[in-house]
Amino acid sequence: MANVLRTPLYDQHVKLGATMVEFAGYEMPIQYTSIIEEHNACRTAAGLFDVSHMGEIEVEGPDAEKFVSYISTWDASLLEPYEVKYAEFLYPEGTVVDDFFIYKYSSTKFLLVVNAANYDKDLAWVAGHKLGDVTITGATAKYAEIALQGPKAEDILKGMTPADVVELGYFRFLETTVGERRCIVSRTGYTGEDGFEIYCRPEDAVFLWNATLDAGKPYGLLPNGLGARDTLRFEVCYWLYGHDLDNTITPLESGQNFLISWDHDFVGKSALLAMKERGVPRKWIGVKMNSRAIPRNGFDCLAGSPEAPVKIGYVTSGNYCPTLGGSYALCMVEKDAVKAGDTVFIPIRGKIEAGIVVKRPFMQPKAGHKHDR
Amino acid sequence: MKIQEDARYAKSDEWARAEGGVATVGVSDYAQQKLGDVVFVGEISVGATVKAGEILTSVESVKAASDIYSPVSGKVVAVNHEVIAKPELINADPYGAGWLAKIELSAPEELNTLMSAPDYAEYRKE
Repeated sequence: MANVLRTPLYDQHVKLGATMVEFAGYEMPIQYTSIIEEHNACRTAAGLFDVSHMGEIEVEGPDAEKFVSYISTWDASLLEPYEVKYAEFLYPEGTVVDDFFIYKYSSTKFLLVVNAANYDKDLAWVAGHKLGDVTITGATAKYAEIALQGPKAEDILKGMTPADVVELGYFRFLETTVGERRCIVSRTGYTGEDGFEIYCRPEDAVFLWNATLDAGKPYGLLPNGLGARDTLRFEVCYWLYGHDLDNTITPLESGQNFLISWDHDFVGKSALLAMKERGVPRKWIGVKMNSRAIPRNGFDCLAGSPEAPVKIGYVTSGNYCPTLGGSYALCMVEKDAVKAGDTVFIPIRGKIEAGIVVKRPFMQPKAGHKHDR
Repeated sequence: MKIQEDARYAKSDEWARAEGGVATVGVSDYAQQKLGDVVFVGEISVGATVKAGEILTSVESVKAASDIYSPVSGKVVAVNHEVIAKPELINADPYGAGWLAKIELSAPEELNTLMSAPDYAEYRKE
């Protein structure tokens, strides 16, 4: 594998016996012991994730707020200092370049956290839309990142930092030290659990990782690989770029109206308005499968009579949900094809499996506000 | 990696243990580790005829779907319904409660083409 990158925690993963896979250009742990065991640890106690592969883009300058707003579905001037917001970059056609997090320090300083697989594309896209007096810095090499998630995350972290993380609000961040290492700590995550994402310097990552594992041991903390990261996010129906979002899908179709503020001008806005005007053609639905066979990304989703069902869309994500104990799918389908309670059919490895359309998310996130409505 | 001494092994990591013309088959400990948490076992039909090296069924783990090949040829005379209801038995006890099917051997000599336990241990030595 040429040019596959490693995070600063690579040796720690190997030492812990992780199975390593290539993901988004990085060698990452998919699991340490068992995806289900790791998943359950995060739901009931805590999980620790290496997410150092995530990309960071710094935007600074007098026009930073105006610029970030112009390239984002969300108006950055609506954010308070030290607030985090989930948003998207859109193509002029209204489809998704990437989903990302805006960290606002002030109206002149922002950190954008993007998907690893999209980092180069995003950086080029952001730079390509440069507006006014701003400095754009591709800064991913400056940051390592670990995520501490789960009901015990707060208990574990509060003993490691002088900051009042108990009082830190959902989607807020602060600059502090953890284990006496300088960090940015945000109350955010991708699991549906309460928890934190901690950004540090790459040279501090090994220390922080091991200190957190040690501090968490009495609470039942386990290191979690990408496998559990995916099942955890899937149960609460958080979007995964490349599966549930891509350059053919608009946020109106993916059920993400909540990340659009309509009172500001942004790239892709006119296309979204036009789509609203003529009617949003597709919607993103949840399906509970009748059997435990697992629908995978790209499989057809059918509806109608069981004898001759017709294609209404496709599976964007599918998996077994360890907490719920069943297989589920997320599907992008024609807007009026089905409603909650209807039966859909998904051919899985030559056999047609039936499922029922259910409400998203499959389980309510415990962290902060509801992402979906 | 656990190896069952009295079983014989296919290169695709299934095992067979023959007794009186009927072989019990399953997947090896090495295979269950590679599969990860198994959450689904596809149907296997009693009475079906299977050939060595052909697909017996498929299993799904959280990671991926995988075909399971029959290590022997013959007729399926029993299916482990418990493992279909509780696929995690494959991870917990691949040589015991996690067995998949019993196959009446149509070509018992095929067993000689499978690996012995020591040979399989060597084959899957990390």
